[in-house]
Amino acid sequence: MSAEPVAEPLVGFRHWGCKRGGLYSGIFVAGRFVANPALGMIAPRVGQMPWPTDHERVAKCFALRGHEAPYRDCNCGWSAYYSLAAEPELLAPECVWGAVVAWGRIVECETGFRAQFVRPLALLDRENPSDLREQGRRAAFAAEAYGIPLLDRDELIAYAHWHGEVRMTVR
Amino acid sequence: MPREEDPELQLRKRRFHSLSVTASLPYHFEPVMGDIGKPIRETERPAPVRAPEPEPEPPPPDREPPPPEREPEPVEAQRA
Repeated sequence: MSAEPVAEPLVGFRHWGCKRGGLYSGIFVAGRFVANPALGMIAPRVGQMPWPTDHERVAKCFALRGHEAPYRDCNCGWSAYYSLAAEPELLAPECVWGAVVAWGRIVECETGFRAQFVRPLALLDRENPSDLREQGRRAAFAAEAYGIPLLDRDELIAYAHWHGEVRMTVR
Repeated sequence: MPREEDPELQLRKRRFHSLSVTASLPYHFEPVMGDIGKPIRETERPAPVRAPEPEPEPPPPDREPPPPEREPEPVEAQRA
C-alpha cells in the first residue's frame, strides 16, 4: 500500500506517565505506571528518558527484521487515538492525557493511528484524585516544562483542530 | 580448530553489545498504547507550521526628540 499524500498534519489524543514534569511512554498495569517495560527487559541499566521538550520524536522499529516505522503489519510508530473520551480514564497517579500533532508517514487505523513524527500540543487539565505525591499538579508541571498549554477538554479539542486534522470517532 | 571463547567473556560481549545497541533506544521505544484497531490506510502528511517567534522590540532610537511644532503666527503679524 502506497502512502496517500494529505495536505495537513493529523492530530490525536493519548496518555503518558508523568514524573517530575517529564512525559514518559509506558504501560499502565493494575493502577501503576511502568515506563517502557520492553526497554527495561532488554537493557535494565539504561535510564528511562522522557519525551524531548524541544523537538519531535522520530519513530523507529526494533523488530528483529527491522523496517521503517510505522509499518502496517507491526505495532511500531507513535500511537494516539483520534478522539478524546468525555472523561478520559486516569489509569494511575502518573497518568496525564493530552493532544499530539503527527506528520510524516502515518498508518491510520480504526480508532487511532501510528505515526513517524509526533510532538505534544497541549495537556488536559483534569485533577487526578489518586495522585497524592504531586497533588494532581503533574500535568501543570509537564505543561510548563514542555512550554505547552494546559486546557480543559473542550478547549483542548478546539486547540487540536487549530493544528491539524482531527478525526473524531465515538469512543 | 578455533578455540572456544571463555563463556564469561562471551557474556560480557553480549552485554556490551546490547548496551551499545540500546544506547539510542530510549528516544524511540514505544510500547503499544492501546487498541487502535486495524489499519485502514497509509498517509504522508506535512510537518505542522510552527508559529513564528515573536520579534524582539526594537531598541529606543538614539535620535533627539523632534522639536515641538511651531505655533502658526497670528494673521495680524503676517499682515504687518
